[in-house]
Amino acid sequence: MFMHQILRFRHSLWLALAVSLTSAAHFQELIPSTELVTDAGSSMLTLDLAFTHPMERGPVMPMGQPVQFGVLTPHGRQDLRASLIPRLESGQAAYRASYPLQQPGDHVFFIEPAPYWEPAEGVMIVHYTKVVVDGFSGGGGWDASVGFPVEIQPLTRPYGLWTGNLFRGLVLRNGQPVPFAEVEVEWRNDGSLTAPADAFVTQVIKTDAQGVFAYAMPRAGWWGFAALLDGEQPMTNPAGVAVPVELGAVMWVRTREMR
Amino acid sequence: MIKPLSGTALVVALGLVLVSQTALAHKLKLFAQTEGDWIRGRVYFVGGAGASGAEIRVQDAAGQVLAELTPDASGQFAYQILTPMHAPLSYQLIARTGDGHVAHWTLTAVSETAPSASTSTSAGACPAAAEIAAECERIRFRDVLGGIGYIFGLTGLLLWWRGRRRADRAA
Repeated sequence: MFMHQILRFRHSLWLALAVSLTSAAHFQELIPSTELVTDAGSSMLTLDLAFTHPMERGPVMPMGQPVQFGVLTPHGRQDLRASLIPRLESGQAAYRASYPLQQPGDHVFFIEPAPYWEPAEGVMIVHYTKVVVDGFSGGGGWDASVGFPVEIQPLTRPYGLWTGNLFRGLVLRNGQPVPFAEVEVEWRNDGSLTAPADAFVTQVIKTDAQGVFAYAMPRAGWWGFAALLDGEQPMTNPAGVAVPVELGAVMWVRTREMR
Repeated sequence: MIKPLSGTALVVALGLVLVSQTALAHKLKLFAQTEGDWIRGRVYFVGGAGASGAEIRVQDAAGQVLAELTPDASGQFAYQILTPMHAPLSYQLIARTGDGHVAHWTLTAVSETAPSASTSTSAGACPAAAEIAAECERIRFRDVLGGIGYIFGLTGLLLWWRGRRRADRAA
């Protein structure tokens, strides 16, 4: 009787392991406390950085020291690496930063994380990630290019979005559109939803012949778009072996309920 | 012959003016900060286009008009506080365009004068570094507790399992 239980326990352990190995998309998160700063009293932004599986709320993977972290403001580019504060997310290394947003206009926050070694897939992962915060309805630069090797150029203004709105973007590699690139989409789960099947965890779309993708976001909250491209150059993993690279062009947008 | 033509031209011109005005008829926005003895700001429409045709009135808290400003082509304006020692505690800025758009901005001298000093004065503006550090500390403490829980739990499970095996052998 008891051995049976143990076996069942072992079985579920293996199952859990197998699920986590095959589990869906990794996403570099870069989530600001708001996508719209509307008054001076709430102009201090908090940005949460973590490398995780947003829809399944984990497992979280440890982040290394980011290579780049900054913001494009109406008055130029600012390096914000000094403002990064290490924190733990589900026991794994993550970061937080605060930023006083003190001028009208679009602010494009971006991060190039340290490459992450994914042993289960045998690849190094680098997700070039950005998110746009509008200051005092100033607008003006929401489609500004960070200059990443792979980047999503939004074709929909990435804030002020209702639930159900269509988000369109152009996937670029070295400034050139990438046709038929795979784009993974996940909702950043707040715990209120359990996906009925694996296929619902990560939505998969592709860019068209012009490199453009579109996705209608069915729920309020933060949505991550990750265009996944094979790196042209291999990288060395922690064991010193040259391995393939997964480059991600990631962008986060927030939708709100229309009510 | 000429008169009706110019009349049409006038109507067309009026129409153009109306069109260009409706094109700009976004919501008017006003933003201002204090930098030293200066109040600097910008008046613009939602989306960022400068509202150069607006007029800005600077008032103290009691509603006394201190200045009327005209912004530059990009909507920027500046106002020098001439008597910083006797400056009012707060300023009320009001921007108006001819077509009835109005935007307001309140500057509180205490919280806005010295953003660089970043003392604890600003009301509710800042989840300061200390607060974040405190949260990290809380997380660390929770993790330690969790770790201890794991150790107890796993040890308990192991002991229980060994006990059961012994009992199975005995039986």
